[in-house]
Parts: sequence; C-alpha cells; structure tokens
Amino acid sequence: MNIKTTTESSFVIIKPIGEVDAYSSIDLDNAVSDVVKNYERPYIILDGSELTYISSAGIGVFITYLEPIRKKKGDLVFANLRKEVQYIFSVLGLDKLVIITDSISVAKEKLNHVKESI
Amino acid sequence: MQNTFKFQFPTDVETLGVVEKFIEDTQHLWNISEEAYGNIMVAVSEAINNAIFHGNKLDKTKHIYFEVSHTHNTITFKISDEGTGFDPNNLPDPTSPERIMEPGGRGIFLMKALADTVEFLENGKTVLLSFNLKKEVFL
Repeated sequence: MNIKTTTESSFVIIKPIGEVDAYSSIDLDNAVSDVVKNYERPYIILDGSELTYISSAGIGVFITYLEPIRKKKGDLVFANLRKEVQYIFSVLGLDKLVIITDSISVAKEKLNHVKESI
Repeated sequence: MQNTFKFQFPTDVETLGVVEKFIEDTQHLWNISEEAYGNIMVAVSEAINNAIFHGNKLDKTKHIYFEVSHTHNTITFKISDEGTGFDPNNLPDPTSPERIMEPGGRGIFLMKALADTVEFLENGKTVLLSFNLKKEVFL
C-alpha cells in the first residue's frame, strides 16, 4: 500500500493506494497523524478511489483521529469509496459518524460548509 | 471434488501479507467473484490478525495454523492459534453508541458480517469461516 498526500488550497487529500491491512495501517496512521499535527484546521478528504480494502485496524485509524480533527474545528470527509469499502463502513455504522461523498468536489463543498459554520 | 491446503505460519505480522497473497492467488485459481473475494480478504485477514496479536500475542515461539478447503460451492478457512482462547459469545457490539468511537474491537464483528458462517472452536482458539461462492451478493 502506498499513500499519496496532496494539498489543494485549504484541503489535504489523502489517497491510500492498495490494501490497508493491520500492517499497513501504521502508514495510514502516520499520514493522518502528520496532517492533524501540522494543520491548524485539518480539512481532510480521504480519496478512496484506489483503496481496494480496509481492515478493522485501518478503520480504527480514522476513528482515533476523528475527535482530534474535530476539536481543531476541522473534519474528515470520505470520497470515491469503492462499494466493498463503503459496505464495510456501513456494517460498522461509520456512515453515521462521517460524511461519505461520491466525488472530491462534493467533499470540498461539505468541508466548505464546515468552515462556514465555525 | 474438494481441494484442501494446510499451512503453518510463524507468529509475525508478515504472515498477514503471505495470507493476503494466497487469497489473491486463489481468486484467480478458483474464479472467485470480486464481491466474494473482498469479503474473504477482509474476514480472513481479521482472523489472522487476531491470531497474531490477540491469540499468540506476537510470541514468536507460537504458530498459526491455516487450512483452506474449496469445493464447487464453498470455500472454508480454518485459522488456529496457540493462545489461551477467549469467549466469542461475550463481546460488546462495536456499533453501539458507547463503543462506536473506540479504535479497536471490530474484527470479529466484521468476520460475522462478511462470512456466511462463522464458528469458533476450542474456546475461541480456532475459527472456521465459510463463504458461499454461488450466491448473489448485493452490496
């Protein structure tokens, strides 16, 4: 699994490429942690277009950082999740905790609403 | 006809990668659908992960026993560790409001959601995961 992190204006896009298993979830943890530490307002989009599967350890990474991100008045929005991964999110009830969108542009709109509500 | 493969793996995080590669290979070998493959990959990886971390507690002197049986309609994985076991019937629901923000505790829940049958034996030291390969899967 590789992780590509890019910035577009005030948004950070994290794109895992491949499978996030218990082992590679450490890399995902480092990638999310870096953004949470280094940004005053972390507006993160998780681009799932090339995320082929995610383990419970990978899900745990997002859960771990959700509260710190929101404490900093940021948010984490998921975009382009494959149906298999989206199914895992829904089985675990995470679709009720986070916003899941069909595209990066809609994810940006959702995060802009978060910004405006501060 | 039934094909059965048996492996013994060391207690090492790299075993996870070896099993993932095996599952990838079986998808092509046995023509497993993308949907079933995704369910198998996640559920079996969770079982291996549990055996490494929770069962054998990363003790390199212990082993993980991995058995795969394939017939025309089903594929069954048997994963055993050398730990002390646990009570699989006494686990909290990770989707409950009081547990949903916990970083861990979702592995067995996922196995039960993704496999067609899940059976724990030997006080939880062995888990059997079966997948029906001929059913329609709706995601």
